[in-house]
Amino acid sequence: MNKTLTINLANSIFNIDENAYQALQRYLEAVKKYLTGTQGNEEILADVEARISELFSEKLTPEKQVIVLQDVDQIIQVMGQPEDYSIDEDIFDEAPKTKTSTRVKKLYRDGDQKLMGGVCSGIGHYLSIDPLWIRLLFIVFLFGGGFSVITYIILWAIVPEATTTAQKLDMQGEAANLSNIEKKIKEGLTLFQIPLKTQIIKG
Amino acid sequence: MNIENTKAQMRKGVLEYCILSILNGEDKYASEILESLKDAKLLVVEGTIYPLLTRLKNAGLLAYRWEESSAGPPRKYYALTETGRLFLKELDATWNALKNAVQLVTK
Repeated sequence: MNKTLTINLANSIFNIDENAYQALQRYLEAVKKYLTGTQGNEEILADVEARISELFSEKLTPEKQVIVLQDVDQIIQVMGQPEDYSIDEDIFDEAPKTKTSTRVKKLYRDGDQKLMGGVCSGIGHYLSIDPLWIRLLFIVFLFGGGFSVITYIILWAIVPEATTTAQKLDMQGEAANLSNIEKKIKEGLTLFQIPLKTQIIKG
Repeated sequence: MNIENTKAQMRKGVLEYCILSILNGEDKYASEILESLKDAKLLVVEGTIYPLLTRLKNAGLLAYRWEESSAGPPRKYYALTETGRLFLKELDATWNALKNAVQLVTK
């Protein structure tokens, strides 16, 4: 004797064994997870459920009224594993994605171009503008109540200084791949920088 | 290099073209499209087709409508749109050129 459940799959009602139900649920969850981020994933999942529902109907006869684990296993064989639901994005994309990843810029303090803590030049890198403007802004706000002093000290304390070459590339928004690191080294920065050590070479 | 991967890639490349061809002149629902593809041994598992159909639909090459069926719930019938027809025409030409090219090279 087996416990059965009644399920509604794409608007059809099925009696299904408990273990078969669990297998089906695991499968649909896995497919759903796999399709996350795909355009129209809910629609795809609805289509898949409709097809499974159709295949279930074909399994039922007047003598056989309940979906069992074996049926679910067979249907999974027919439908395929979650990774079979993938389509090659490169083939079907309207405009192929450029492989050059635009690295997300990160805010660092720039120890190479600093007047005090490198906060302004760091922000300058982050916003891709000359740090001079940031410095001017800080000075203007200095006369407007001294907020900029506190802001500066807080930023000095919480924003890390870019010490490694990878961090410096992050700061400037360049991908830290081999050729860029090489370029940086050629520009006069050493790869094996030790934090806190004063920089001899000026960029 | 995995031979199975290469085979799968080849099949996937022409699947889109084949789906459009199957729907040329006749509207069909997913299971009928599946049947044609499986008969031709173009499809190993059925799951592959659903993301493709949705993508073709979102690209405006296919449209669908719901139709009542005598056996079971309503079915989603797919049809080529005007854009889809033009797209298919273009692919027909490309396919013929490709077929000839491959034949020439593999002779």
